[in-house]
Amino acid sequence: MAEGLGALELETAWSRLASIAEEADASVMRTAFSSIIRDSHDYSCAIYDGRGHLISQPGFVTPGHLGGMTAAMRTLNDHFPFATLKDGDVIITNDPWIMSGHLPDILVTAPVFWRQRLVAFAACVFHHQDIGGRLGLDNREVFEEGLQLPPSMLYRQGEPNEDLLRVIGANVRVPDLVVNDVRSQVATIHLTAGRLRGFLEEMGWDDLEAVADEIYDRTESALRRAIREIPDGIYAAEAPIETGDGDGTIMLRLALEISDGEMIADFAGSDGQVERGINCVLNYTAAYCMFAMKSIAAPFLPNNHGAMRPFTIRAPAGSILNARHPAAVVGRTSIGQFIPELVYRALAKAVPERIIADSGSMPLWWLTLSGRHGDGRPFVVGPMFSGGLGARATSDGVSCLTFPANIKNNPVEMVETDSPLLVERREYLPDSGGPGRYRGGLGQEFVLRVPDDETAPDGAIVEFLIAGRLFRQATGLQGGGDGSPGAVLLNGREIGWGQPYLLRPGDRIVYRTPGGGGYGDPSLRDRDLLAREVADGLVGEATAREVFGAGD
Amino acid sequence: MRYRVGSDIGGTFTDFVVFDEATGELHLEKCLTTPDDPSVAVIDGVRSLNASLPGFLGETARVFHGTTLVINAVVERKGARTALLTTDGFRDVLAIGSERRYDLYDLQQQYPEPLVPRRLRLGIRERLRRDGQVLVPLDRAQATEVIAVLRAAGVESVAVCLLHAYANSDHERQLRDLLGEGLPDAAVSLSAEVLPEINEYTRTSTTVVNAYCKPLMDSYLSTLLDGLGAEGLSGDLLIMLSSGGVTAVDTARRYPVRVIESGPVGGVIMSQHVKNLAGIDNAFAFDMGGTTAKLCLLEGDTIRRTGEYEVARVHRFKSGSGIPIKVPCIDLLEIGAGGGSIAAINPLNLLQVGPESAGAAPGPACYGGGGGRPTVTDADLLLGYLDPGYFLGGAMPLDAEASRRAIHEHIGRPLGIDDTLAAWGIHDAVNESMAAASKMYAAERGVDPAGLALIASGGAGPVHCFGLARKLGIRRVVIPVAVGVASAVGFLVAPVSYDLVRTHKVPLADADLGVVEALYRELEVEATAVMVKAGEGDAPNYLRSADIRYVGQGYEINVPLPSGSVETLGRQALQDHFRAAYEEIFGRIFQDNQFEIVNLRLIARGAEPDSPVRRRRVAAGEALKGRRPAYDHGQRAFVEHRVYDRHAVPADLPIEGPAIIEERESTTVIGAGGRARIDDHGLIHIEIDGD
Repeated sequence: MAEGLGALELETAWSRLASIAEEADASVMRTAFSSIIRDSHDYSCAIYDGRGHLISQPGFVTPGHLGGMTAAMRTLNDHFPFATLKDGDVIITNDPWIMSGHLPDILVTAPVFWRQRLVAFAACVFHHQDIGGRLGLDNREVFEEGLQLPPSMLYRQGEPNEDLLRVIGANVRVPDLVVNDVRSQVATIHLTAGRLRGFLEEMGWDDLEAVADEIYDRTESALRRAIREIPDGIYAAEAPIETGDGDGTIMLRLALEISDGEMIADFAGSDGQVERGINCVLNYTAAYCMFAMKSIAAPFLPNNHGAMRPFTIRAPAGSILNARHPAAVVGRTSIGQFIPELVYRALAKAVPERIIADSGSMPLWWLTLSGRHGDGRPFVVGPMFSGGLGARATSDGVSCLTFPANIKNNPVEMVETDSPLLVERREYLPDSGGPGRYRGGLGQEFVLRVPDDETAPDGAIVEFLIAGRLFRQATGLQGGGDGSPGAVLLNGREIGWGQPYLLRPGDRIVYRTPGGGGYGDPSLRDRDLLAREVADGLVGEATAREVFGAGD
Repeated sequence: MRYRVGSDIGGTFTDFVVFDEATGELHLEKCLTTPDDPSVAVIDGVRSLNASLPGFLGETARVFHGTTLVINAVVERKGARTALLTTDGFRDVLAIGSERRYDLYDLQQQYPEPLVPRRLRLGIRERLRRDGQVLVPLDRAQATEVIAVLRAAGVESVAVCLLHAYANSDHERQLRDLLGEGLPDAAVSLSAEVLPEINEYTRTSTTVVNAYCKPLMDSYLSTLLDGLGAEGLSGDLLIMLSSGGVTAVDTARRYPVRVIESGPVGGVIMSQHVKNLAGIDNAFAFDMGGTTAKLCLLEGDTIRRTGEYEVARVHRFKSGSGIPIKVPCIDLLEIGAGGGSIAAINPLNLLQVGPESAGAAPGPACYGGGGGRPTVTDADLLLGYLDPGYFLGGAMPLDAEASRRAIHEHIGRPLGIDDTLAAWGIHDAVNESMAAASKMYAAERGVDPAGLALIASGGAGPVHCFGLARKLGIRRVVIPVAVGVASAVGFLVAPVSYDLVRTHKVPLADADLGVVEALYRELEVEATAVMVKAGEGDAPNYLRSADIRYVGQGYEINVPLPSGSVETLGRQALQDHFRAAYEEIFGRIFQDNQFEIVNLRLIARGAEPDSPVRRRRVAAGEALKGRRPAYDHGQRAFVEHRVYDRHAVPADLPIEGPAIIEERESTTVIGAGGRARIDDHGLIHIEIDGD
């Protein structure tokens, strides 16, 4: 009887904690300054209990931020013992090994005190528009990649450390954006902390520990039950991943063991770390691996500390998935975001109906354009454009959808307001989706031009793209075909990604994002749907005839 | 002119209210909605009202009309064959959307199909810069060819959305002229008129919804006007907007997207009216029906509003899974909690109520419609709050045994608790989930719910308002009259109003306040013209506000301005005013930054109509109908509740909780520690002791 009513109170508390996280997320939109935050939503908020365990997150987070931030909360205690923290303290860090694996991601977190006790942490990570350093994947060490902020006090008992803010401002290309966005992070955690105190007051509780433990235990046991529905075994997968350095590849290997409600991912045998900015810290590897395993085992369970307990992730120290300091790491998306692909391939035989074909949006295409407006003002913008999602067992892949990252594109009108660039095109790429009974999502063509009239920029614009899948396209599943590979053309000439290019007035650069892989035999595709797609110019007539067998 | 008429087309019923200004009587009528041509039900209703009120339309000054036409057309894909003209290279902006996933982990997520198929999304050669300067002039010859393609495809409506058209509408206007020549029968919607704001995806999406519904709205309103005219209407037909205002038919025809759905709006306006009648400052309007509960904050004379809305979601409660539109809307919170919400034990071994609903079919287990899963209504029945023999006034007997079986099997047995406690768990859990959502809604708006009153309507609202109020610390609850047709009654009290916006981006420090004042004056002239068309005088109330942000920030907050000229007010006063508004939301984090004005907004509002809620006549018969046992959680037992007939209770008869007040459409439950009375207007007032 008591158990029944306890469950009711728990349900309430749980949904309130989720709502507070959602409110934190929404408040960022109102205070942030840069397009990468307010338009692209490249940030994540979360709430931790007084021990630093993840208790609640909003719906809109990126796996990398969340995993990195959650790992950081475990180690911050070593730098600033939690018992010594005071009300009004605010901690900041972007250490890739402590947090989410590259310098632009800055964590700001504050202890939340209630009745003189530390009861929670409010935290958020922003991917800042700039962190200084030299743009390029040919950097050999993290020292070249920008400003490093070891765990530091941004506020001490409510007093801001203005010196630190000045140091940040002096090291980045767009100080107004970056420093104000850091202030926006502080505003967000202030709001979160206030809501948490209000919540505890309403509930009449002294702390969150009891409810937190209940949340973790229930989540853990539900997740273990869900994992037990997948047949036990050791499932292996491997894949060569492009490095952006000519036709170089890196081999990733995974042995995924499922055993009595646990999933143990071991990346032994993967290639070693490299002198190029594509290395992943273990936090990042673990973040994307956990994301992928949860998306298969129990996508609808809430995520928290308890949802991590059944997962173990290992990668050899010194490998590309567990790189040692001071490896260069800025482009870890290009390697680490393929981890879900390995997980899905490994599980293809065990749960074919749950997995999806390779996605053209994997990895993220992350573009940075940096320069000066005609009047000398600096700008940094990062237009986002995704490839196509892989097809599913019972439906097409979604065209132009972020995956496994989770951010939004920025409006063309915003890109043109924040920079002197012109966007000439944002359009689907016909025939880019892998054919199949269910078609892979389409990629897109995104075209930029540097004006050469009176609105031309002052000097050259640095173009820096971190991407993938220019020659290793998304493969199909169960007889489905491959998506088309990506392409980048500068004034009609194919260029790659990973090295910076200087764009001059009049230059035109074309980005074609990869399509997703198809699922199932293309000859089984619904004929009416295929005819509509031909009429809509999504599938070419020749493709319809030759690949899908239209008219047979 | 003796009458005012309110008519609301809902999903199932079309409701009518005729208010007789001479006698103060309200005449009610309900007809089944006719989805193929909703005007049929309206005319049917008018005819049946004619039987009791012969010739009433000839003596009607205004008919206030609300409809779900627009949202239904989008959800059911019944709009016009629509085309979209964009800047060349951007035909897929509508389909590409924001590229985000609305669920992080769900690999199977689906998105709504765009309202315009790709073959009818065509690019036009032209280009504007961000400041509105012409980079590439409109290629009229190419545009003419494209229009010929649309003609061949039988296009009925065209949305035009060109890049940066919010800064310069010239190319869009030229296209309208060319469409007038090449496709004269098609309706045209320009983004520069529908939503002159930066962000091409939202602007395109909003303009497309407008275009998609425009021919439908146009022909519907013509048919309706003709029909009402034939029935003798010589007064005005006014249309309910999602913003809570009403407007002339002409405006609704041009901007149907502003008329998304009116049902919830009418209910909120009615609550606002009741709040004022009861002399209450601030309140929650709370409506709980079969599938969802809705909540809206009422502060003084204003109803909270917002600009963001999403229609046709794939997952009703997942933001990002629908079609975004940006129009003025009342700031409504929708919660997946209603009488039909299903209770279940979730994978976390927790009792969860909603958001899944049994709806009207199969309905709660007690309806006997084959729904074997327990719902909130089943719990309310088992707890004795509802009378199985007096549901809808006895028109629909309920099967209490079916409720007990469903609750036992799905909740009581798995949790190992007795059926009564399980039923209480469901009742309390749904209150709890509404309270949690309400607290969050209030917190986000900087309001403490404990200081508010609760105005409760809807079929299930009066059953749950006492428990909800307790959880929110609310001490005062009011139940309006005519809860069954609250929306249509609400229309009768809605003032005519209209919203306008003008982008004027300038740092406050550099702003020429003379220019700002002149722009507000222009908006006033424009709004007044719309008001006059709707039969209002030429001196409405103007409410000015500004969207402001810190220089360099991407998102604005809306700050109401003090009345009077901006010039007279002065820069310093504006600065202080903005800073105070900002600090209230965000604290003192950014105090060194400069403010920037982005948009000037104006709401023009006509006079408040006379109240249709008049003194009531107490019905004959016993006020105290009887007694029945119902559950009291304080005592953990069934205790005797006195049961009253709402219409027979004399004014100011004290009613002590625990008690139940019944009427045909609903049942009001007053727990222990509550005291109720019914006033001269028929409103039920409940006061709740503090804990």
